[in-house]
Amino acid sequence: MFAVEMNNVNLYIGDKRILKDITVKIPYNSVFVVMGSSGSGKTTLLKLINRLVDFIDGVRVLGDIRVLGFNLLDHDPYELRKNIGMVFQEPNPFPHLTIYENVAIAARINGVAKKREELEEVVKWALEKAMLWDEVKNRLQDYPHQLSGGQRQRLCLARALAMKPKLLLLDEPTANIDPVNARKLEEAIVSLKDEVTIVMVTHLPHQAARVADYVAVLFEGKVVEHGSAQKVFLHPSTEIAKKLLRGEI
Amino acid sequence: MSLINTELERLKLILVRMSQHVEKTLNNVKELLEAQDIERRRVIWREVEDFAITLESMRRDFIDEALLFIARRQPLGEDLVSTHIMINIAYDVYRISRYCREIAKVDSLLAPSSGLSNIPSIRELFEKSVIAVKATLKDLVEFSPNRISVVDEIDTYMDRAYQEILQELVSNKVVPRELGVKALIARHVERIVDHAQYIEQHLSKL
Repeated sequence: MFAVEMNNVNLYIGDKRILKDITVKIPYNSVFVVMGSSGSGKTTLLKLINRLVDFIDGVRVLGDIRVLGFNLLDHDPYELRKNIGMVFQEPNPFPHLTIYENVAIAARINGVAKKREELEEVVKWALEKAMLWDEVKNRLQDYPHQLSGGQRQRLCLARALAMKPKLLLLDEPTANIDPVNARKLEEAIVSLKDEVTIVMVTHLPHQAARVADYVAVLFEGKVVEHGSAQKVFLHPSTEIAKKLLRGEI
Repeated sequence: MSLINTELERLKLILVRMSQHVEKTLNNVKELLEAQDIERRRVIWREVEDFAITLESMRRDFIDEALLFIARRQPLGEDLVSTHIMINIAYDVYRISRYCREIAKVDSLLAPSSGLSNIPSIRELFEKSVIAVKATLKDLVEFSPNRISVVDEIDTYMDRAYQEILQELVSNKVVPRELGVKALIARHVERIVDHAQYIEQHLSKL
């Protein structure tokens, strides 16, 4: 059983084929990194997993996709998304809610916690898992704009975790934050895999090397190389993967 | 050429320079196994010692360079594997010089007698090892294990020869000095070929 299983998946926007014959299997409780240069289709692949691509005009998906055991294309996307958290490239906490409320709202909406004590416990747990608790435990009533960019991104991770997802999607989560915060986020990602399956998109080979258990290299909408981190980072078999690892594409 | 390629080439160049030193030290030892003149032998002992010291220092510098390269360029894939392989090769090249030094040391202990030139069949064994090492060093320059079969063949021959010497050694109640020295040198020669073979094996992984 895999958290995500795609067989011969093609995604079109209008007449243009964006994803081409994608076949990947993402094991549970692993960090699966999708690597590729700009425009290779990484984010589209990620947004396909929680069906955010449904919001793109003229999108058409063909192929067999199973996510958390469900047939993705037949399943209610709202139900599915209750089990899938997502963190975007740009930190996007709710600006009008406090740090506490930003995390608590996800747990409340998803029914993870109802009583106040339960909610407090979940908020603390999520902030700890996002490696933010120590920095904000005495200022939970502050607002996101009072945090640094890196802290805001970890707040978004905590918010995603508070809904207790089975699958967590991360779209270049460190792209806009400083190296210290990026490192903290990477450590959080690696430590989370016991509890949640993580699919992360990055164009940074070294970041992928630091966190990945499995890697897929995407180029022009195609998976040109995939396998264990050891295989891809030490013995890549395709010229495209080799160039990507060298930062040449 | 990209920075990563330029620096990898520079690392290879250091290995090639190390291999040139090893070739010279092998030629020295080869001469030592024939030389009877004590003054000439003294010169050779000193040269072999100097080469061993130089190669040890080159190996340390090489590791520093390789680590700096890893820190700066953070290589992945073939580049990372190549760097690791080159660090291993630098060690093997250095070890060959150490065994040459050990052979020279035994010769110096035998002085003022005529030394290793009087020990039967040692020269023949050493010459075989020189063929193996030179084949390996050529492969190192080409960075490809083109001559691996030659080295493997000599390694098999050397293992057998060393085994026979050891059997001869244990079959004697009292070991004659010549046989003891021969066993010691044969062991060093056998190890030299082992390291040549290791280099070939490393090159095969690329």
